[in-house]
Parts: sequence; C-alpha cells; structure tokens
Amino acid sequence: MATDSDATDEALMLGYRDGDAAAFDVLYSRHKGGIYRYLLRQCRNAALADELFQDIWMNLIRARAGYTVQAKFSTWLYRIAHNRLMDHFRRDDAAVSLDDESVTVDEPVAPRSVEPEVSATSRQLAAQLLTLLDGLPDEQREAFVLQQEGGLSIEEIAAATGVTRETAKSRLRYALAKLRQGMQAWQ
Amino acid sequence: MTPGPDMEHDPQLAALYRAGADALPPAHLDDAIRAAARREVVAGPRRSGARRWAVPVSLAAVVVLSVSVVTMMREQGADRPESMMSPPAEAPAAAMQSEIVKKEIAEPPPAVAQEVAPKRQSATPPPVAAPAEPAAKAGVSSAPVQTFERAAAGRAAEAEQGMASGSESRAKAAAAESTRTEPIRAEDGAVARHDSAPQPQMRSAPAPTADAASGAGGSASARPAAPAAALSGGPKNALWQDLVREPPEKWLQRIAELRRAGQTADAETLVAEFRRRFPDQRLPEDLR
Repeated sequence: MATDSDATDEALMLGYRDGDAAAFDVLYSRHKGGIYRYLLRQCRNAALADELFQDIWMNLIRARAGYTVQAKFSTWLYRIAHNRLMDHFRRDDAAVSLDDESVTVDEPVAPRSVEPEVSATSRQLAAQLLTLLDGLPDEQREAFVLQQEGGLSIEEIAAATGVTRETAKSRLRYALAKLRQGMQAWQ
Repeated sequence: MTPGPDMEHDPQLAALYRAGADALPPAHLDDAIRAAARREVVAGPRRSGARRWAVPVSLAAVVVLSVSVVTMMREQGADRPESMMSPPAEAPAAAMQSEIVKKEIAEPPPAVAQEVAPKRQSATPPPVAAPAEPAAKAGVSSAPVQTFERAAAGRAAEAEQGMASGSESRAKAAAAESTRTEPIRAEDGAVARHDSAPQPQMRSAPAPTADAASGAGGSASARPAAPAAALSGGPKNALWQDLVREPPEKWLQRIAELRRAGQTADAETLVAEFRRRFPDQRLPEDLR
C-alpha cells in the first residue's frame, strides 16, 4: 500500500487502520515531537514524559481498528494525551508540581538545531520564555502549548481538554498576557 | 514584547517558542512504538478473522439451540395431548371392572391419585394378573377377586348378546349382579375397605359415584359396562342393564315407555340413573 506523505492525518490514520504500517510511520513522524514536548512541558519530567509518550501512542495503536474520522486527527491525538496526563495526575495526586524540587527538565535550554547566526540574545530569550511558561498555571500552560505544538484552534483546545470554548479562550488569553508581560522585562 | 492585535495569537511569542522547543523523544522509544505499530498491523488479520467468524458461529449456535428447543417442545407437546386427550381404552368391561375392584382392595387411599397418572399415559389396560400381588399383600384373599372376574366376564358376554334377548337378558343380568356382590359381602375386610375407598376413587376418576368406569369418557361408545352398578347391587340395576351401552336417546325412550306403562317408580329410578350417567344431557320436560 503506497503512502502519500502529503496525505492528511486523517487519511493516514485510516490507512493505518486498514493495515498500512507505513502510514503510521508518517503520522508518527509528524506528531511525535509535538506530543513529546506537550508532555514534557506539562509533567516536566523527562522519564515520566517518556513513559506517558509511549502509553499514548500504544493507546492510539490499540484504538486503530475502531478509528473513524469524527474530528481533526490532532485534536483526537491531543485529547488522548490530555486524558493520559490527567489519569497520571489523579493517580499520583500532584506528585509532580511546580514547586517540586525533584523535577528535572531535560530539555536543552538552547535549541539543538540552532543556526550559527542565531544570537546569544535570542537563545536567552527562548530560554526565558520557557522559564516563564513553566511558571504558568497548568491549564494556561496547556492551552498555550496545545496551540503552539498541535496547532489547535481555541475550539480544538476546548475539545482536547474537555472544557468550553470560553474557558479555553480565557486560559489562552491569560497565558499569552503573562508571557508577554514577562518577556517585556527582557527587552 | 508588544501584544499583537489578536489576543489569542502572538506570532513573536510563537516564533520564540519554536526556536527554543525542539525536544524529541529518545530513539529507542521511536523504535519501540513503530515496532508495536507494525506488530499490530500483522496481528490485525488474525483478530479480524476471528471477528469474521464470530457472527456466523453465533448465528449457527442460535439456530441449533432454537431447533433443539422447538424439537423438544414438539415432542413434549405430542406426548401431552395423547396422554391427556385419549379416552380410556375400550377394554373389555370385565377387565376394567376387575381392575377397579382390585385397586380398591389392594391400595390405600392416598396411593389412588398416584395410580391414576400412569394409567392415563398407557392406552392399553394393564395385565390382569399383575395387580393380584398387591391384593395378596394387603391380606385379602384373591378368591373374591377371581369370583368377581368370572362374574364380570359373564356380564360382558351378556352385554354382547345384547338387548335382543330383552327381559331374559335383564333377568340374567340381575342374577349376575347378585352373584357378583356376594363375594364382596362375604369378605368383611374387603367390604370395609371398599366402603372407605370411594372418596379418593371419586376424586381420581372423572365420573362420580359407582359409575367410575362407565362415565369417564362421556361418550356412550367408549363407556364400558358399569362396574359400580354391580357393586351397588339390587334389582334396580335390571332396569338399565341393557341400556348401559346405549346412547341417551335410548334411555329417554325407555323412561317414556315406563311412564306410559304407569311404572312411575321405575321411571323415576331410571331418570335418576340417567342423570348420573349423562349429567350434560337435558331431560325433556315431559319426562321430568
């Protein structure tokens, strides 16, 4: 079965459902980074992010036989990720929190693919943004990361996180406002 | 940073975020997940094959169960009407008579009801010799039974000779009746049992009183000779002895004849017997 790399996510998932393993490879390549970073931002623990990341994709693999296109694939995928994350938080009852000293963020401060001409100032700004992001409330941070990593709209963020559109919009606005405010001190 | 015009989008923040966010999952996770995805695809046809067979197998099971249940119900339904609806076999009157008397003598009252059920199922009369054992066990001599059988056989023969012989046959029947009742009277114990037995016997047999053997089926052709008439004894039986196998019309005809002849007492006796034997028949006004 030929897999078109330009195919939509939904078409690739349908192809995988029908037995096209190559379609899954394309799909995985498209979304693995976004999902992984979403997890990394939300749980701020690389080992835990690895575990949850594997669980999420295994859930998707197991659910492939019953997959039908009812929403945008990325919305569905991030909803799986959100639910898995919530399960973990409920089980561990805030074992990972912002004030937890044991939290280890393995993400490199500087991007690995940084261009030589990227200035040191830019790297510092990016690092500062991530620091500010870590300081946001979980819901606001989640809304921002879903927008940036998944490319989700406000409606899709609401669907992925199980809240109303207004709630999602409010969270995102607060997140952007705080980040802007925090970054102004660096300019 | 200056806020953009759109409160939900900030391109500068987005660019800065993308510049600093390029973390990727470890390579071993990539390999594990891709391998799992391939395994799932390979294992898929097995499961879908099982799913493909699930519906036909379920349907086959349902069909087999349904056929089994219907077959069983038909078998049971076929048994029931035969056993419930079939009238008593047209056994010789003597055999029926002797059977009833032997049962009354040999069996205690509570067992009578249980005895009736198997009798209904078997269309053929039980062997005559078989019930002799319970009679012996009950401490009753078999002599009265044998005497009774002989008398009943004689009575059946008379009944076959029919009403053609008219009053002669009636006289013979009366003689047979008196002969038949004597051995029972001679055995006090047996008579006592007979007297105490009728209540359960009446409950188990459809026809009331002493007419148990004759009135069960409700049809004249299926009615054997009345053994209870012999048990009750008396010359009155001679009045309807030759009518035992006749339809109700004959009885009414005889009653009318007796009325016309002025034999009112006999007519009344015959009316009473008619009512016992044919409770579902209406007696004409002029005969009441």
